[in-house]
Amino acid sequence: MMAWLLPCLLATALATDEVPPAERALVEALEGELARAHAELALPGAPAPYHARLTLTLLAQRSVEATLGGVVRADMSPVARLGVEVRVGSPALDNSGFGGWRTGFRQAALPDQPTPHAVRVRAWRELDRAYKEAVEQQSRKVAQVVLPPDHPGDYTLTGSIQAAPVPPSPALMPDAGLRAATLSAVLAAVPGVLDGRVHLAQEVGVAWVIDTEGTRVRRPVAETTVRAVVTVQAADGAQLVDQRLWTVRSPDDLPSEAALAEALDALARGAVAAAAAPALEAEYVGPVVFLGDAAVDLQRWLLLPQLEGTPPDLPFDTIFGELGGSDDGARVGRRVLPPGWRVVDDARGVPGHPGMAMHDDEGSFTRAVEVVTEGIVRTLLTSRTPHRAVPDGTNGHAWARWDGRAAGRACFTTVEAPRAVPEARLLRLGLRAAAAYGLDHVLVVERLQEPAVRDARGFGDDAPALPPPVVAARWYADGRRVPVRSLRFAAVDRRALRDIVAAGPVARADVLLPRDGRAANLGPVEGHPCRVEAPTVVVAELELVPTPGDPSAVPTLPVATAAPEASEP
Amino acid sequence: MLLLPLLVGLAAAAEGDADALLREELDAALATWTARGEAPHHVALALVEHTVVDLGATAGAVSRDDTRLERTLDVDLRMGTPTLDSTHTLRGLSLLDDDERGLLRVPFASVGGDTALRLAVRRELDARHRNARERLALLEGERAVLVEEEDPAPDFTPGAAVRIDAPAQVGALDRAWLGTLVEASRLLDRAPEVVESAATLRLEHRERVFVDTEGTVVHDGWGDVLLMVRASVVADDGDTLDVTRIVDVARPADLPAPDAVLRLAEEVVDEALALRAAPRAAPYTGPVLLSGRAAAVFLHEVLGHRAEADRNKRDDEGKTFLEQLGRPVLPSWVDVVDDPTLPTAHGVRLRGHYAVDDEGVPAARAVLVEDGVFRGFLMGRSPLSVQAGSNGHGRRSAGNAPAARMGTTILTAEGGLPPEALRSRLLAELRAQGLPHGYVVDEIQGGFTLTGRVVPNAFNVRASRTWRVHADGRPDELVRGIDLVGTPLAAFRALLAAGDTPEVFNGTCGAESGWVPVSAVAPPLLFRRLELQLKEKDVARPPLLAKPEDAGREQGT
Repeated sequence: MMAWLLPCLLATALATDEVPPAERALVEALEGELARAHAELALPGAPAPYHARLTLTLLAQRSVEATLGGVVRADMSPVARLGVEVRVGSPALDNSGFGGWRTGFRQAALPDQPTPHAVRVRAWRELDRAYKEAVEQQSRKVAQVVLPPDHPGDYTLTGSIQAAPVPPSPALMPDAGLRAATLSAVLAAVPGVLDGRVHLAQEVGVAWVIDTEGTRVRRPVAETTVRAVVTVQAADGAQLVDQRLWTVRSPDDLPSEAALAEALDALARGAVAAAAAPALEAEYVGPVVFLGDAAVDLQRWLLLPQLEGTPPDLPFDTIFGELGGSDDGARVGRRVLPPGWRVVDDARGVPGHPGMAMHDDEGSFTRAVEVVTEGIVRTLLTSRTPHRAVPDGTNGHAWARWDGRAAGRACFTTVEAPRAVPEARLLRLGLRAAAAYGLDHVLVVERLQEPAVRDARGFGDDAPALPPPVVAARWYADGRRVPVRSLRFAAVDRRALRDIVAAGPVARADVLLPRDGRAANLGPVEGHPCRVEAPTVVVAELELVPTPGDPSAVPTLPVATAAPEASEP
Repeated sequence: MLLLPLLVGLAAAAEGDADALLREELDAALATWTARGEAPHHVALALVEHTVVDLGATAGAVSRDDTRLERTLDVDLRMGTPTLDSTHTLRGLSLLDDDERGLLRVPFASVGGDTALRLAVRRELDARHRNARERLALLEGERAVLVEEEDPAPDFTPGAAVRIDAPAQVGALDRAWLGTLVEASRLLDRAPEVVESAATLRLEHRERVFVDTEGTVVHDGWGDVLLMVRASVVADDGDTLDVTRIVDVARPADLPAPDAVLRLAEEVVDEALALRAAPRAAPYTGPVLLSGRAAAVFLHEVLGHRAEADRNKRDDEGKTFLEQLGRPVLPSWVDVVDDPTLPTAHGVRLRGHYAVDDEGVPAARAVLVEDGVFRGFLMGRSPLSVQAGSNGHGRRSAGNAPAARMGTTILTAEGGLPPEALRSRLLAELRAQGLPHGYVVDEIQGGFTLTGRVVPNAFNVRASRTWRVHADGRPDELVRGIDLVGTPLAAFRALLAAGDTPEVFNGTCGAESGWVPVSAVAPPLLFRRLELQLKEKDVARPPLLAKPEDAGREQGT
């Protein structure tokens, strides 16, 4: 099958002069093995591979975790990893998109200092395994699935895409441990901090995508991420965890040490102040104003899943129950925002951002996509897995883990309102809406819990929901802002965005998003660096309920920083 | 000790002063709790600094060149009294049956003093205190509802203060070893049938500071260097066969010469290829001869675990030997002890050697079997009704509560036979039983045993090299695909003879209190009747395409 491919691959020799010879040799070794596997892998009575892809990731990295001035974890081991994807059958029906495991998508660690032979041996082994898995998975799928007449197919062959030039990598931080420890010491200086941590991670290198269509894409990886996390405890035992994130391409792009220290000090003092606020005593039903990062998070959690257009895995009926088959959260033609609102996703839209990409994880060219106009979804963010409502195929939004099927995901998303009012006016509009509920104040939420730093219970992958507020306040007509804590949203779903009644100034935040869509498993500095811009808003009605503290969790020892009152028995 | 370049500019967090810091925090906490009327009856803190250096190679490439540092803290805090304290096993539907702690990493390097470490210690003391209070309340409710336990022994044995200052002298691992590992990995990779292979070297160095409310202060260390050479092949029937050789020494200076490592790699490949060509054996019962290492693992799994005191205290355990105390369980010519105080045996370093256990009790020789009679248990600080007092076997890995565990378990046999005589005895037994063949197991991968009540109280010793021995004198035949299985009391009663060439097994044992280094020493053991069962087998076809050749090596690069 496809006997033309091997000479074709061999003919398209690497032309990118910037590629170091050692790296070039690795890629050529993988290409040779990929071509051999594509041409020769066969099992009696089984379909041959019609498409295969290898990804090669080579990164130098630094990763440090420090708490209150002390380092608890430091890692500088390189990352060398191979992703393998084998498809059998045809683009109309292959082994992908069906639940379970051993699906033909694999990953494996490569030697820290890979050689062409070592990577070739590993690719040989993994392609062999992936092919056998793909054959089995396709037979399982064929046995169980009756495809509807309008099934759009499982994959789109696109032809070859060639490498893009890679800008020079920033230097690795020689003093990552010292920087993380020094920053975390800032948190130790704030009385009342129970725990303060700084996670600092830097990755520098390249990620290659090569496939049997002749695609050869070399992508840069340059990311430096700092996440500061502070934990405080209220008098009733309730814990409050807040955080700040910086994700940039080069350490030089980080704020100055002084600016970072100032931000961490503000974070810690803000958290301590938030913990000192009274707890919400009774349920709140009424309008809610989302300011700052909370406005971004509102869209991140409720809007983005509605734009991602790769169908979920078809369910595999097993002795464990159905695997796969989660609801498809995206619909073209659905109203997701009020009239006049517009959403664009563009991975090229933020030059210099560490998540910016000219090519996605399938090697396709990224491009701007206007996903929503007039508040209605017009198209979806797609990978090469077809969606019946998006006949054009991929629009360059495929993001994947090393061992999973790439799926269309949002990353650089801009949400635009047709008109915006100043923040003061936004708050007045919120107060006016609250008056209809007999309230003399409106609830303002400024920050939501970040699941990457604290498990937000009840906040799952499948159900669109909002994590609980971390920083919130009651705003009164006389301008008073009275902080309130220990509250969570009740029964929020995606339809809440339709109830936005006013928009204010634009908020912008960097976020680390899961490449596989599963937010629950990400660590503090894991995930795809992305950026979301969205207006601050008033949502007409939401419900929030109290989350009582745990008095038994009140420490008996002075466990917080310089807080003598906590030492009293 | 700070090794990582990432930590330039940082100071070790309270190095040298760690015991003083722990003591200060412990004293302050006790004062607070005493004032509240909530003082625990015993608290111990263990701060362990782990340094791990990993070097490795596969298919001629450096696969690992990595140094990691971490420091862990364990707080063992007991509320209540030594008779009934918060560590007592919860039997009801409390969902808190296990110790709730997890692995706690604390700062090992810092800027500006010891605040971070001090607060981490304090937070953990507070958390364990809260947890202990909760458990004690649950226990009181539980005891009102449930029947009395089978063993009403107290929960704790108080002890005397111990003071030891003996840090380990481990030495550094020369990175020049990478060259040897790369060369060994080339040899492993050379055979087309070898689908995966690796040569690795790991240095582990642990330094521990332990303090408790009895006044014990221990600063000691443990070092280990593990050289591992491994090759995997796939037989035509899908059976994936791993052959691994391990060299375990206390210090890098004791490692074998590079030439010996290369020879080891060649031996591993030869054995893997031989195994690949060997037939799978069938289930069998009859005479079996275990070599010294195989016998040592047998000893560890079948007798050793059942002699651990904690396992004989819980109501859900099988308690194989509890009723055997003072009764014969082995032939009268057999003795078994567990002696962590020995650093070596028969010229081989013992991984299970330590001076003080994880409850601050000096390690001591424990007699388990004397003249075939079961004499006693491996004891931590949790006594049994039939045996009081710790013999220094309370052990754990970081993040777990200590429990009685093995150190170095040693079986000695009076009148052991030379190898030729033992083989003759095997053949004679085959003929006596009218069997055409028996088996010799001379290499193992490890094993496991089940000691509970619901599941069969059985063991499995994972045989990795087994020979079929023909009664008619034909040459021995290498076979694959079988494990040794059985139940303990029946197996021991079938012990027929022993050899006079004891061997040492060094390994890491995983059980309720985590992973701990252990050794077992035994001579070859001949059993009148043991059972072999089929080992699990992969079902995937061998690789469909030929393994890529190392073009670079052929071109001399």
